[in-house]
Amino acid sequence: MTEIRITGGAIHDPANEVDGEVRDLCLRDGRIVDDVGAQARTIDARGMVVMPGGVDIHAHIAGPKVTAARRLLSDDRRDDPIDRTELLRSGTGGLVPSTFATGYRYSLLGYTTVVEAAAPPLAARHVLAELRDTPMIDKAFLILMGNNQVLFELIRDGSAHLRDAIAWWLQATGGYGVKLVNPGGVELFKQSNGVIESLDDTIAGFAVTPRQVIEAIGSAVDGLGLPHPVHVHANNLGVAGNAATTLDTMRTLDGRQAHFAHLQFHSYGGEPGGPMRSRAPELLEHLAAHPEFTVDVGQVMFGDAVTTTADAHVSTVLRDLDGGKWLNHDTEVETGCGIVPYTYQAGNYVHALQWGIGLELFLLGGDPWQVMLSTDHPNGGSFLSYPKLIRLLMDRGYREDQLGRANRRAIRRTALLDDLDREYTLNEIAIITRAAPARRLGLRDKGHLGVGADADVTIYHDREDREEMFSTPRYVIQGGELLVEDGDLRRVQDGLLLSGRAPFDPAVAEVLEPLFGERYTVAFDHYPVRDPALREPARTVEAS
Amino acid sequence: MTLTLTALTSPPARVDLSPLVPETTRGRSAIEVAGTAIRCGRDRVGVGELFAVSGYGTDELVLRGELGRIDRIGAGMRGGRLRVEGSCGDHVGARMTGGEIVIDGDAGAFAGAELRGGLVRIEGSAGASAGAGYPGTRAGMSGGEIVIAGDAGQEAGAAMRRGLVAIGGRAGDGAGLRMLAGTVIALRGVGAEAGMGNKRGSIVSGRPLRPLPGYARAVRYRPPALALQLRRLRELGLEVPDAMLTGAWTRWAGDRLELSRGEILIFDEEEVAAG
Amino acid sequence: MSEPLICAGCGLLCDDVTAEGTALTPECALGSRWLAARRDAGGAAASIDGAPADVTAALDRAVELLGAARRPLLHGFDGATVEDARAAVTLADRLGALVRVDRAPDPEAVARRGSSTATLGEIRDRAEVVVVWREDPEVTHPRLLERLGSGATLVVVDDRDTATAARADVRLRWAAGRDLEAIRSLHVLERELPLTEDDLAGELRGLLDRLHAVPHAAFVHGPGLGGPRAALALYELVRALSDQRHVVTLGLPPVAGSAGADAVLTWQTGYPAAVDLASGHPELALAVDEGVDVAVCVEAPARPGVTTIALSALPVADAAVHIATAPPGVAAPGTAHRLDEVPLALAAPWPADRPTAAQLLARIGEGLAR
Repeated sequence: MTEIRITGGAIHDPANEVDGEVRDLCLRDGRIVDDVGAQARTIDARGMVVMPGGVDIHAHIAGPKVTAARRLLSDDRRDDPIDRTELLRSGTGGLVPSTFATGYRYSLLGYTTVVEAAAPPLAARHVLAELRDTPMIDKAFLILMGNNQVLFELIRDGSAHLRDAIAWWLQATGGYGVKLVNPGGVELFKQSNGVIESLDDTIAGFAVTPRQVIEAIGSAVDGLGLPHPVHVHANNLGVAGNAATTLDTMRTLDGRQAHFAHLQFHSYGGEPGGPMRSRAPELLEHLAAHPEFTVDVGQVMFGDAVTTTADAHVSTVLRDLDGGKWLNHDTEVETGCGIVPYTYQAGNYVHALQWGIGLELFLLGGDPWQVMLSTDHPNGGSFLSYPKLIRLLMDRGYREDQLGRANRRAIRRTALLDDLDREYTLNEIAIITRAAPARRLGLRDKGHLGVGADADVTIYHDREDREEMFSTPRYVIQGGELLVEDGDLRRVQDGLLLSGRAPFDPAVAEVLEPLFGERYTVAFDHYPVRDPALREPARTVEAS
Repeated sequence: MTLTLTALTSPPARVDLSPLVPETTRGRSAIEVAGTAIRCGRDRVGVGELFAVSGYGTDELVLRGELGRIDRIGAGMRGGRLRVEGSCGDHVGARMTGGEIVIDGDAGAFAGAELRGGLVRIEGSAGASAGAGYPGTRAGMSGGEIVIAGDAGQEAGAAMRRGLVAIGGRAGDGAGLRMLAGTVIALRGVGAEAGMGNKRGSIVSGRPLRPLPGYARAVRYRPPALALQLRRLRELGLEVPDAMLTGAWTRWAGDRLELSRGEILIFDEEEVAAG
Repeated sequence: MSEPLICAGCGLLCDDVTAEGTALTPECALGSRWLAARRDAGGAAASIDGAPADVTAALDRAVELLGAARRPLLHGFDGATVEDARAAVTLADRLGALVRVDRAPDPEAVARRGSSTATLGEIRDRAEVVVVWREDPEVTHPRLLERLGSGATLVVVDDRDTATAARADVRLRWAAGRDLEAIRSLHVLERELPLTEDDLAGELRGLLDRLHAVPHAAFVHGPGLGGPRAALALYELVRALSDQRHVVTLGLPPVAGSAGADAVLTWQTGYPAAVDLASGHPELALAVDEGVDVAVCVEAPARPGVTTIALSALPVADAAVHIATAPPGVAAPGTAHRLDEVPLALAAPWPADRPTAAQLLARIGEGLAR
């Protein structure tokens, strides 16, 4: 029985409306408790900041596209080796670290839960095996459903089985939630390198529109009561003028719970092919009126990144920008995949505008419970850049210094020069990096420090330099075990697989089987993952 | 006396000698150097277990004996002189930024790979990928000179961005693969499949060659810039026939599948004789 | 009685198969041979220097050999599972060993420029032209053409009269040595640049016209395509063609288990194909002469001239240690990646009282820790 008492720290637990109160925090058997015995280990946290463990609601850390990115980036990892030790496996870092390195580095950063945001369900066994090799953190993955031909047919036919089919798919894969990526558009790309121009375009061969797909799947997920609502990567990512599409997508889902991923990449004004503008204020306004929606920002950070997406058409656009490396993989029935290494340059108009729009989304008065932190790792930058991003949000002087380095013309097109003096408080940082993501994921035991919660706790030195502070937590405790001290890993653990589940009518199999037979090259019986070695240790979060 | 390491026997596994370069041995005694840990296969051993060490560390370091399994000699070196009296293993002078390495014998693969500055001189032949980038690297060698008196293996100068790879003998197949710029010269000719994906680089072949379909015959001329470069090769100790300095070369422009701002220059003795 | 089976006889991992005895339905000679060899493997549970031994003694000997090895190698993975590969890379990390997965010669080309690929179903449902480039899948992947469907025009580039060539709608017969030139010429034509006329030009124009006429095409390639530069040239061509249509490649692996093993190696270390862990961290293995002294062959034959520890369902000649494994897909379950990276769960219709390679590798690791 492990008991820990953390004494004297300033507790930042916004979910329980605790804002810097100095008091003890007690942990026993992996949970937060009222009190522990005198024999409990004491951690002296005087002068330190205590928060729940970090929760990353949107990152790309495991599965075939991540491993494909590793293959593509042999050169990026060479100068970032990680030696094996008695405790640790060796690995390589860079923008897309090897699996063990991914787990270690998230843990060193004070994160305890990470969501892989785009897994092809057909590759679930691969995703699960990689996640098993990603230690430390608890993890979940979202399954790609927005270009699934079988679901297109059910939607077109107005089938009553759609909900059951989605619940079946989660059960078959061990996935946590449902992701839409450029709904309908990836199928069009695979058909004809095509793109969606309007949500009412017909997806050739299926007689459905993106709007129908968004509405049907969004409603089904909402109706199932899954712990996490539909997670939407809207159509037309990265295209000037796409804010109109984003607003249209939001209107389509009005009244239903939904999470919009990397909103920065979907907040552009202007005309396709023309100069980009910011429409972040308008999107924030819409969000403010719709408490049923949340977003993560998908901030871009100046420097190297690698775009790694199911939205394969976007990758062909980036490919043609500088003619560098490009990888494409089409997955039958379900999705696509594109990977292009990319560098965001402060002096470049578009990149600086993207950077500025991300900051606008954070700073223009949005509710932090609705606007969460992400870089869409590794698309906008590595998760290792989160501390720098936190400093940009908390330290106005630093931000203005960085603004001065960015392309002036772009920054002038944002509201960032309008005497924007907002500085995030520690509690607001705790909201956007743990409390809000955990709540949005339906992880009731995470993202807060109330009695009964998972004992996932990160303790920071309260340093003026917030980047330094958030780069190297003093302690990281997960499941009640002390994993990290002062930048060193002390203990290695597997972490849990988090799966989402909703009850479904097993008769849906009779509907799905013939549709599978026509389309997949894998037999229906061989599709679901049954091997317990791949699915455990797991915690299943039920629909409510 | 110059610090000298003499291999006692051929080591039981390949050795990574990169910790020993003039800047790390300067001012150190033979005993200190003998105690330095290096990697042999998966083990760490003392230098003294594999080498007899004599002399005192200065700006120069000498290696002797059977060095065929000694890799990464002078890798990452920033200055000073390193002399290899014999043949050595792979990655000699890889990613070095300054100084000079002279190898009396042959070098293994990746000699001078991703060189950034300085000089690597190989009196014998080099293995594959001399002056090349490591797999996946877009921009490899970015400066300095590699001089190979003998032949070079496949893909010499692959992905190079700047600098010179000068080969007295023949270059193997695939020389200048995806090179961005810089120069690869092989006085006795380059092999097949040269310059695939070459953007702005120059590949110079002292013997006739059939370029890949991405190249188009452009002009036959006496390139003045090349004469200067060939004179530099003479300074570097390579034997350049007078005919090459004064004779006509055929320039093929390419790779047209990239920028088409690179070239392959081919020396055609027959036509020179006729002219 | 017939048993349903996922056949791991080649990288296609056909999962619509039933076996009666060792005869498969649908019929497949390669699959039947694969199954027969593994159902009747028999032989000693283990051997040391060719003499029968018990498994524990053989493991002790393996631990002893590896403990003393200066330059150990783990390789093979012919029909091995993802679980086997995970255990192998784990052991290699502990040992500071080399790991090598036999793949088609393309990892370098992918690292240089990337690639465009697709699963079998994508190719079957969309590709209207399939170009098989100097491979003979009718022999090496017997049901490939069937699984890619009958809708596409089959173009075979090969100067040999293979079984695959016999099924071609269009044959192109230049010699292997001209492949790179041919691919670059196609690329020159695709870019509408002038091409020096030669004997191939007409055939190449014809091929390009066919590719231009369809919205989807696929190239099937493998070791027959002579080296990484040719693979790179093919990927560059596919990339250029993809501007106006959708074009993909499908690589045929030399052994059935290599796709999964390569994925494991890449996700655990960050590098594909050949990785050296001797320095304490992963590095791409680039040496020609590796100086290997002890090789652990996972579901593979012995390595000539090297002390071999073979963990294999099949008998292995000339191994210092051989331990018979339960053949994956026959006697042991596990995950395998199809040649197009789709992961499948191999069943174990005929369980046997033998360990898997993964279990043996873990026990060797425990032995080394003692």
